[in-house]
Amino acid sequence: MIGSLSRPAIPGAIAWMGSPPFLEEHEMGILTWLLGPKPVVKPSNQSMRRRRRPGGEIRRNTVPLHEERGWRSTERDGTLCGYYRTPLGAFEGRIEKAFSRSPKYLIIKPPAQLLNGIHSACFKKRAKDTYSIHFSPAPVDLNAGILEMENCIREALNE
Amino acid sequence: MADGAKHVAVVCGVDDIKDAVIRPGTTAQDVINDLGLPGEYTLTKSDGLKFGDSENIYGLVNDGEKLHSSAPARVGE
Repeated sequence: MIGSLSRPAIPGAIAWMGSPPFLEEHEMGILTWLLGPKPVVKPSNQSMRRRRRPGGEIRRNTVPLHEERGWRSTERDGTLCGYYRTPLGAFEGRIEKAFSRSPKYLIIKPPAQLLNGIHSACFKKRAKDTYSIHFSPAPVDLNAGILEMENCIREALNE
Repeated sequence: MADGAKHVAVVCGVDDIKDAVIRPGTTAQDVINDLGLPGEYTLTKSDGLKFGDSENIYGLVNDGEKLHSSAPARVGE
């Protein structure tokens, strides 16, 4: 009989984890007898507050892609020299009349997968190991052409 | 450094990190050769894009930057 039992010693700490929703009122009474009164948690004035720091302005990177990729102008006629870069390889390239309305993109020693792939007709040999690249439609700007060429190389190497 | 050299760390493997000195005119292949790595290895910048073998990388790396070297790989092979 429960009434004849002495209050058991509860080893360790048994905390109220919230009222079990499935207990009846008399069962809650038994639980209270076993564990003691349910402690009341008073809200603390020093509650966790998120410290908000003033935000700063995030400015976008204004460095052009061709500069980021390391393309450099080495001749006075506006020719850029650099590399088309992908995670699988970097290939030397040249862009003649880079800042004109119709730059000419060239690639030097392109991978065989590019010359034999679905875009093979877009590459015409101009000199030893140097191929001109035909775009259709033409890139909207210099950096779009570099990106498109890099995508093309990446696709070819991933086939 | 006073002579304009840049020190970079090249990750050659899981626990293999080597120091390299980049001077004006140093190419990616120079770094590979100086580190004693196989000639077909390539050098990759921290953004995952590769350097060309004969590319002058001095102006493209920062002092203290970490680069990666790896054997050539082809997806699917």
